Amino acid sequence: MADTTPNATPSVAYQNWAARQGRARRKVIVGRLLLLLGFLALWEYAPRNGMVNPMLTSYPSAVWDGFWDLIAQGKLGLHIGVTLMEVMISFAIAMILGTAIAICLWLSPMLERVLDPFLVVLNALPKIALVPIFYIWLGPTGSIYAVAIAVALFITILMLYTGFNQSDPNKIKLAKTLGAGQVQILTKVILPGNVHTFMATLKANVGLSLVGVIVGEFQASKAGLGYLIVYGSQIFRMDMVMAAIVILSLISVGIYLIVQKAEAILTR
Amino acid sequence: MTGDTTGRHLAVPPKIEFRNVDLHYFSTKGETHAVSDMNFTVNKGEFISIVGQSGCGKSTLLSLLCGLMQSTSGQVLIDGKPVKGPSPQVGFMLQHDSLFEWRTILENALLGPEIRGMDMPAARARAERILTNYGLGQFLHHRPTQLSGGMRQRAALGRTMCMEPDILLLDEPFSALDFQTRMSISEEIGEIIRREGKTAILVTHDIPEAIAMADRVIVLSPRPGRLKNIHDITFPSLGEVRPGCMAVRDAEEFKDYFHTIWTEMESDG
Repeated sequence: MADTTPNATPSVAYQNWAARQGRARRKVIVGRLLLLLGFLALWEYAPRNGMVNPMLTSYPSAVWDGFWDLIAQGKLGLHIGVTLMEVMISFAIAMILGTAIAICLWLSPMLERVLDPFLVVLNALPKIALVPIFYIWLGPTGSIYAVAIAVALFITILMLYTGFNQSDPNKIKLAKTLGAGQVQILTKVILPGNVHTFMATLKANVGLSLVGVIVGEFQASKAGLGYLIVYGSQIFRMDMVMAAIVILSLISVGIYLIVQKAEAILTR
Repeated sequence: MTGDTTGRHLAVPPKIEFRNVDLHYFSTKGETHAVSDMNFTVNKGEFISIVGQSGCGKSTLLSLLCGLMQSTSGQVLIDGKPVKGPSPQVGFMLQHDSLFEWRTILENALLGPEIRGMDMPAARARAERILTNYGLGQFLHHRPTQLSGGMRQRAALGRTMCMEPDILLLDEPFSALDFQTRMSISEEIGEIIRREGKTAILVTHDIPEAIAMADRVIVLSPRPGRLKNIHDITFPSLGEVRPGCMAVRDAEEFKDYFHTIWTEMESDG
């Protein structure tokens, strides 16, 4: 047995060690806060003192005002909601479709061999290049979803398929000796053994879906944070643009944290 | 056979029979002749060890017996019937315990019954009883990562035994363990197999282990694997009843068997 139960009464040496660990942790947190505050202070100071053009960079207090301005207009909730919904839906579709296709490829090596070069090309292709085509084919709303799904779909398929293929061959052999067929190997070995791969794919896709949605909104939209960024830059309201970007980064961190929490629960 | 009043004597087929078995592997690199003209039988309740140099087809013989692959020609028979595919009757223990780390020890033991669609409450009771017998009663709901190497291998044996096989195939199941664990676990598992009257085939690189555990040792030639010799392993100096795997290592005969088998394996160059 690997017995790693800590001693009931910690020794002085251990207490010193723990204290050092605690100090190191606090130093890291203080360092992060200093970096953030330093950045914000410089951003505030430089434009106000004519070192850079405030028209181009804006500054934190103006961004803060711009943020409240947006709320006062009563439209910020709508913009966030629209972008969030687009992200969620395309994220879900890319994951479900991607997982289904990866499973099909794993079940049929022949299909995988036939499709392999096409998947590689589609994955390597910068999906953003398709935005104008999607716009012509699917219109403003459809194209946003199409880009976001396209950006996330192929990487989902490839990541999951690679994970499936790297499953422990000994576990597969063992399942076979117990009489498992292909579908049972999938449900008993491949899928439960790839929860980590699935979670890594989810994490990657949070960012990718956001990229797809924002780019889609850039092309054509009436609402959403991408719209806000383009609109703000057209009327030269850098405070509005910066506020939208800050909100966007908060959203992506928020979704990432939710996925991380889900991972912690699923892989206990 | 008792109760046979007709005077007709039915020949009981051996538990396991290899009859003129030949196996060729095909790959993009070409063809490999892995097993050649293999002939031997194993009786019910016998413990057989198979030794030979790496790549001599030892493990292949077990895969054939388990039905994971089919011979190119010849027949592999269990109870006189050709092996068609994996059956609950044959339990396979691999070098890696391959316990699923996302399942508890008990859930791992229930993998076979789940796959076979057995009666789960009964299988669960059986698994609990078997694992408890193997000293894992306290660890039924632990994850494999919380167990030591020896305990993991006992859990793997529990998973195999939960299918109630009457034939056990052991493919170097002890080779990943440290020396001390290896000695005690092989003794323990050998004892369990004998006590439960299972027929067993052990494939190993370790000649002393092969001798210590088996009633007969089969020596194979290098690729293509051919049957070179079969040694009956008995220890008259230790009396009528054969003692455990540990005790026989001290027997006078042990050294002789080792020397003979070693020389036989070496002579292939």
